[in-house]
Amino acid sequence: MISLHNVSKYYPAGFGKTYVLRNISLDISEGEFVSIMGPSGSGKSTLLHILGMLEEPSEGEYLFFDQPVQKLSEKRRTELHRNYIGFVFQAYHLIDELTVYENIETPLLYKGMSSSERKSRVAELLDRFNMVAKKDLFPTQLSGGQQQLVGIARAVASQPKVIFADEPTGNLHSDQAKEIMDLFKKLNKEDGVTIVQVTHSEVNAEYGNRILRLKDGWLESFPVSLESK
Amino acid sequence: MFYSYLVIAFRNLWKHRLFSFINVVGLASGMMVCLLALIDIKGAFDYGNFHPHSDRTYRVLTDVTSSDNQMVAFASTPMPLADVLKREYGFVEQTTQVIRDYAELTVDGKKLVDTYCAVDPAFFTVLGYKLASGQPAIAPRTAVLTPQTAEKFFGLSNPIGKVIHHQELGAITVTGVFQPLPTRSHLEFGLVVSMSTRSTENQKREQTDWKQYKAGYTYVRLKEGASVEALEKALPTITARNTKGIQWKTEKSYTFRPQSLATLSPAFEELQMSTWEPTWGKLATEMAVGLITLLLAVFNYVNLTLARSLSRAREVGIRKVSGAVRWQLMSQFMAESVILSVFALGVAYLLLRLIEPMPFVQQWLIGGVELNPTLWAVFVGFSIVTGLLAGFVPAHVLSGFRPAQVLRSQTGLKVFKGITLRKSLIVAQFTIALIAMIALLSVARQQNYMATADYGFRSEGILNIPLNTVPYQRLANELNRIPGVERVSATSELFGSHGGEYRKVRRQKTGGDSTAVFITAVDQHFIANMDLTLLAGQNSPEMTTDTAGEGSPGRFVLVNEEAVKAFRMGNPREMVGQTLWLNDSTEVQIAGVVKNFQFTTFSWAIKPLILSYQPKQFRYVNVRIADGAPEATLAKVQGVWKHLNPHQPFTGEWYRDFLYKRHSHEDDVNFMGLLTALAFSIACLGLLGMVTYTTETRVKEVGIRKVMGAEVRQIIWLLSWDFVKLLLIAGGIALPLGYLAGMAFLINFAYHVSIGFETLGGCIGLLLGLGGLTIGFRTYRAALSNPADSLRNE
Repeated sequence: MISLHNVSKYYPAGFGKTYVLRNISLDISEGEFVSIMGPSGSGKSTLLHILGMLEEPSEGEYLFFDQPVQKLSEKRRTELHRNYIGFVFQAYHLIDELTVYENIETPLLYKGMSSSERKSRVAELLDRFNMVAKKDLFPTQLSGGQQQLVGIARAVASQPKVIFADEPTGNLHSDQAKEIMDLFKKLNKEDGVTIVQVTHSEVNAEYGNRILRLKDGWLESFPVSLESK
Repeated sequence: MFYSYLVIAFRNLWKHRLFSFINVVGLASGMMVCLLALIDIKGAFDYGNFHPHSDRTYRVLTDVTSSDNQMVAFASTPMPLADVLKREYGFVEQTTQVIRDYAELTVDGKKLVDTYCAVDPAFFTVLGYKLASGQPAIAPRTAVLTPQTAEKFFGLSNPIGKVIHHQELGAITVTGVFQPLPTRSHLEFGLVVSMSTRSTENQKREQTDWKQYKAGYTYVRLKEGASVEALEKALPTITARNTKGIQWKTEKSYTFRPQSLATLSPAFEELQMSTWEPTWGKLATEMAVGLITLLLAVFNYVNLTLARSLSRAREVGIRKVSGAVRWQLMSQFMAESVILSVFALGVAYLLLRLIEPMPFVQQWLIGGVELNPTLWAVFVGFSIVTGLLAGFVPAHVLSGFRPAQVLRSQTGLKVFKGITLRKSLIVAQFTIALIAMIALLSVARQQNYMATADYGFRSEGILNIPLNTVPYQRLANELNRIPGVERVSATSELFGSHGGEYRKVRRQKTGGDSTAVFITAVDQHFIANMDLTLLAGQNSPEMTTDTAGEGSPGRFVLVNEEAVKAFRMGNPREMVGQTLWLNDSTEVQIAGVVKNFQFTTFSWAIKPLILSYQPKQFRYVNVRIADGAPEATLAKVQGVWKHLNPHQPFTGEWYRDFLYKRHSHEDDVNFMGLLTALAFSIACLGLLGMVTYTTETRVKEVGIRKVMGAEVRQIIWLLSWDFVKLLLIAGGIALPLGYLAGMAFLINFAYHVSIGFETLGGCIGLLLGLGGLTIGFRTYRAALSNPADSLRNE
């Protein structure tokens, strides 16, 4: 489903270039749960952004469902965002002016869903995430864990094939983190959603079935498969 | 989707109440001025729209070529034209003639000066003035009154059949009353009289004279289906046939041209003998003033929205990864600005109601214009367009954010670098406000100067009473008996205004050089009463001997110094004893020369003046009241007036007050002051918004600096200096421009105030004072904040 060939990312710095990612090649197939790990500044977030088509690689080729992403038009890329990709952020990134209900509804609006379809879809999600009572609250009235739940609900609202999560539990304490990670596991197992997460925590990384380790922009050559352990 | 835009827009506006308030109030102020202009524009298009068949009714204009080949357009024509058109051209359905004049009319001792129109019978069918009651004025010496005039003369009683007296035309019978007009019209009058009423030799000659193109107005209604080209073709033939034998003095020739009644207003050109239709120029100026004010407010919107772009950037990122495309985000942000703008329209309407009673607004802008649904639709459309335009730049910038950038880091994000743009917008606002203030202050100071300056004659303690129908000598005798009255004099003109009669006077009876002079009729007490100084000769002897007061014009006159210069006499003493011809038959001798004083307004330099004794022309008495108890004396003067003239109210006025009212134009200055205050408050609000935002984003820096030992005043200076610099730049640009703008106005006056240090200094002082307060208010609070709070969590 996802395949990178010799992807590099660099920024111009003075007369030379600063490499953030060097020569990354990897494949992720549908239904996988991949954790990207590495120290600060190793390029994890950049890699995730490239995978999520928020940034473009400086070199190399990216195939998403066998389509070369770098050749896609802006419009087509937005289409992919609407229908195939969901994002979860460390800082939740909910829209403060919208209620829980409206935050979850946002991607459905852009998908062009009819009002009744939206209603039933959001209701279903609220029910599933146990947040029916909180649907009219604003993000600032929720705890961090609850906000992240909304963030995940929003990410899965449009039934994406893949969710990219950038340190989804980075701002949460361990109980909440566990709850969120269990949820990801469940989404991966029961709904078959591919999940790619960036994390610092070995514990969280083990929820996945594969760990990619980055160091100074290089992908460590032996990807560890947890199943084979 | 649209609903969602609305919801988030409202919540955003509510969340940032200060910014919304600044934007709504600013936009509303600008919009209010635009609404005034729009109303006036509508009034101009509705002008006279009650005339029937205005598409095929034309007013004929006369283009006069003068002997130096200057072309001047007149709204009037010679009188015989209407008849020729009607008689000889088949395509003409009807014509009508209108002669406009002023008349002094009396009814039962009530006197009224009003414009009247002499009209032929066709007037009542060609133009749309409808009768409410009675018959059209067709027979000689009949008249139809407007409802206003009827009320002024006859109150609530039925005016039909009543008689009005006119000095020249005689007794005129009222035959009808017009309906009130639905809109304003180009012909404004208090009454119309039948054309046949005008029957003096001169007036009869006018009816057949092709030379007098200023005589009156000619209207032509063409038959249905007839084209205006036929009329255009006929007019030169008529001109050629009838102007052949004319001996011109200063003109060469003239041509006629038709002007459709439908396109009369707004007027494209300035016409002589004008009927004062609103011109495009006036409307464009008003709209420009409105748009500039609105632009200042739009600057605020752009500025504040861009300044807060950081907080919106994250939202843009989220929406983009949720699948929003750029135009969707743009329409969301524009929806916000449109909502704000429609809110502002509501507030603008309230402001409009508030200033509606101002005399300036009534007289110049919205007098008599009704707000109908069309106008409301225009208002709403206007506010929506304003919202779209104001929202475009911020929407374009905000929707351009890249999600990877704005979502990655939580702090320290510099997303928008348009600092230069934002700063120049603030500078532009204050520059415009300051220029307006300097110009306004120059106008106000000049008017105050003219209202209170020393004119060179006494105005303190002088009470002017218009004579109307009261005989001067009787009134003077009665007044002189009152103990508090020092002296009573008479004059034909109040000094300090337009100066009175202006005509050519010659040294010899025929030929010789002539000089234009002002002539005012005064009596023998006038010189002493007004504290005028005789430089040579004496007060004319006849004035002192002719106490009967009803005598023929005196043979002796006084002149001023300027007249001595104009007649090229060396010094005042030489002038005494010389003779002048006031016209072909009146020779007068100069008895004395008075020191120059300002007898016109300060627009003109002092002109030559002749003071002559012509009792018939006296229109005012000047009563000099002794110091002490002027109010008690005034009451007694009123008593005398009441005794002599029980029907008319006492309209006497202190000379000081007359000069003040004549020159201060407080209404106009108040209105302009309002505009300037609007511009200034918009600028200050914008500044407040920017300072608030900047200090909020620098609160962490302030905390760090305080921890490192910075004092409060150092912090205030740090936060304020950037903005103070902007104010200084605005001042630097505005002072010279404001000076030029002020001078452009003052140059019209021969004697004017100077735009000195006090005007410029006062304006820049106010700018820095208000701006400084705005800045200081916010930065002081920021500087006082406890660093522990701002540094604790990030």
